[in-house]
Amino acid sequence: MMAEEGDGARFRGALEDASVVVTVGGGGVGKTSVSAALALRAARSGRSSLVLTIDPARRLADALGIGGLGNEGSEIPSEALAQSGIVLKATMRASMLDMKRSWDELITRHAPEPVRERILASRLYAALSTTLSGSQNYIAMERLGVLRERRSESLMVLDTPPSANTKDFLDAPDRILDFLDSEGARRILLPALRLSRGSLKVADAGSALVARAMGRLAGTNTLRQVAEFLDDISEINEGFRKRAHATRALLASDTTRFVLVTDASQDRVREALSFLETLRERGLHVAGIVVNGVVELVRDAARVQARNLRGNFRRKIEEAIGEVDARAVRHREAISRLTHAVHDLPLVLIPQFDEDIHDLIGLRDLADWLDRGGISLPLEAREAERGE
Amino acid sequence: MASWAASATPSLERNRSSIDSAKAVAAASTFFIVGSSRLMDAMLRSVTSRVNLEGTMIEQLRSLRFIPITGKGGVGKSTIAAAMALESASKGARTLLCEVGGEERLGPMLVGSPMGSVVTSLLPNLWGVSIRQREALLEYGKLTLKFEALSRAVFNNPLARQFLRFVPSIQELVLLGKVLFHVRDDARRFDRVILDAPATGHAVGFFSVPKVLLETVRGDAMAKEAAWMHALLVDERVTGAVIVALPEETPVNEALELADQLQSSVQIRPRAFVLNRFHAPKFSAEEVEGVAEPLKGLLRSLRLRAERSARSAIRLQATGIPVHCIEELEVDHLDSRSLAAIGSALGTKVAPR
Repeated sequence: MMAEEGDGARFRGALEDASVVVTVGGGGVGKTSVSAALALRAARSGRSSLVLTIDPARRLADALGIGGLGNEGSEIPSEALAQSGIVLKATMRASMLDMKRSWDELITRHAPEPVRERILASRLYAALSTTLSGSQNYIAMERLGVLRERRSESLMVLDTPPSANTKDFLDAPDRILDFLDSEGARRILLPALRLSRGSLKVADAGSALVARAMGRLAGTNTLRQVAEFLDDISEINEGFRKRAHATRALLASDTTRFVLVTDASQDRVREALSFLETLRERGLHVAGIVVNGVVELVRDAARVQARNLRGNFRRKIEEAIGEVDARAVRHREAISRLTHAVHDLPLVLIPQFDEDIHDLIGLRDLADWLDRGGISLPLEAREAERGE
Repeated sequence: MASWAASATPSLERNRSSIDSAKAVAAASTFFIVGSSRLMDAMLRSVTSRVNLEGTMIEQLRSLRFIPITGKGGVGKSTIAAAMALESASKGARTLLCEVGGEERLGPMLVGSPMGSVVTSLLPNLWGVSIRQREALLEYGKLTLKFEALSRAVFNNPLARQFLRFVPSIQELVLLGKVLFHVRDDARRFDRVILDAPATGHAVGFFSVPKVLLETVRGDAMAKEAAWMHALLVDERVTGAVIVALPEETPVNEALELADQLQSSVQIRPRAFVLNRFHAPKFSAEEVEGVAEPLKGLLRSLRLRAERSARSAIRLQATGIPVHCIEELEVDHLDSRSLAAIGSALGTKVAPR
């Protein structure tokens, strides 16, 4: 059963003129495969595309040809496409975010020579570029900006790192800037730190006290390293600021669309709604919501078949049918809650697949479902909500 | 609800032979068309053969005082942490359930309201606390600087706070310190501390902070703190990690990597895997083949799901670490009752279906 014209057509329409699509959603809801499928359907319809994935499952990465090093990405080979029965009218490229390399490139581009070496060698930089929370979000966006400058694909799809909420993702540029911009802290604490312990009193008394206390907390050597690192990094602050500004502008651009991805469980739907609220508060453009893994009620014909079986086997089958139905009912409730809260956005319901999407055939099937606007459930609430 | 203890025999010898046979079956099964082979039936049986266990998972881990629950985001860490804490409390251990880093999930799940940053009594024998960065830092300051006024002067100074954010590891150290304080506590206010730990990636970084500090900044105040924390973490009589995974490729890969890294780079011993949302095998290949469409399609898809679960369990089992499988609950939302049911089902054997 196909969705009524509405959702599919509206979803397609909302993506038609998009030059950037950003998929957002919680961990494990299928963001990566939706991202890749969106790029695939664009290329199929004649728009060259690039998908930037964050942490794809290994088999999917292999299928996309990004198993190895892939910061720039590579085109999906035509033989592989042909084998999966896919005909593309334009090229499709896939790449995987390499966090460390992207950071290194950023520093290399913005920092002048002696400073660059010092930053790259610092253990504080190592922490910043690999483990600092939020730095993955930031560098993913930054990477998108770089790819937009260097490449000419007509659609770029950004898969986002799993984060507890969309705010973390959207605020990443500000947080990194805020983090790196420690002009004030440097001004007050650096002189105090540079002075030897005995002569701390010559610095302004308040900051000397604070500096000394901080030395006790974190160790004087560590603090000195921090001070020096901040000194170095301040050289590239201006460059960072410009980049972050450009990234923010790109996300808010008229041709950037967000696609919210969720599954059909109550918890995830609740989470998706709060993501959506954040996107809307920021005035960002949302193309629609993709709900993955929707379980449908067992078909009546199968029920009739079960009734004609006998004994233990029949009991076992009826029990299994009961469990599938129970899940389908819960999914319906969650989806109707979503519909109830969001009546102005297309909702694309993707049925549960028997296997994880791990190859081009799986992506093709998903792209087909996205094209068709997903399945439609006979949801009374949905009809009522949309009626007017 | 049902639960399977896939491999929980304490004997290494028995473990190894069952892993070997499971591996052999798994390897052999790839030569046959998945979904219709008898070998797959054998594989499914081998994974879910029920081992006679002594009590629930928490009883098997009863000697531990600190159990961090880790895993990839979205696999159900908080659920498992809450379920284990309830089970621990119901077995008579005074249990503290901790979460770190802001968003409160456990309190609303268990008692319908946030736990807050002060240790709060939730249910009989069960306490909870949500540990926040700023308070943890302030407390560390008080301990280290000895004077609350001085500590406040530092931490209320926005410039100093900003500066401190750059000190590698200090944030993690103070959070971990607050958790481990309750483990070390000489007064033994709690018998056991269960931590809903950060997600994979963060987890290894988080727990290796004391070790890294010990290696890099000897003699500092932070190193002194790091020393006792590290000692508790690597003491396998005290600390044992539980790793939660889903029966899918990526989460299993991550769980295996995490187990390896916890053991090799942090020296925390992983004591159990929990395979959440496990699908139990219900139909044999013959049964699937024996019915016509559309019923056949339904049974086939249930079977494929069970096979995927079985393959995941086998991959985890190959580590020799016990794997506890738990089926998805058919409830709208989790509360203390459904969580208690998960807790008491974890690791127990079930009546045959």
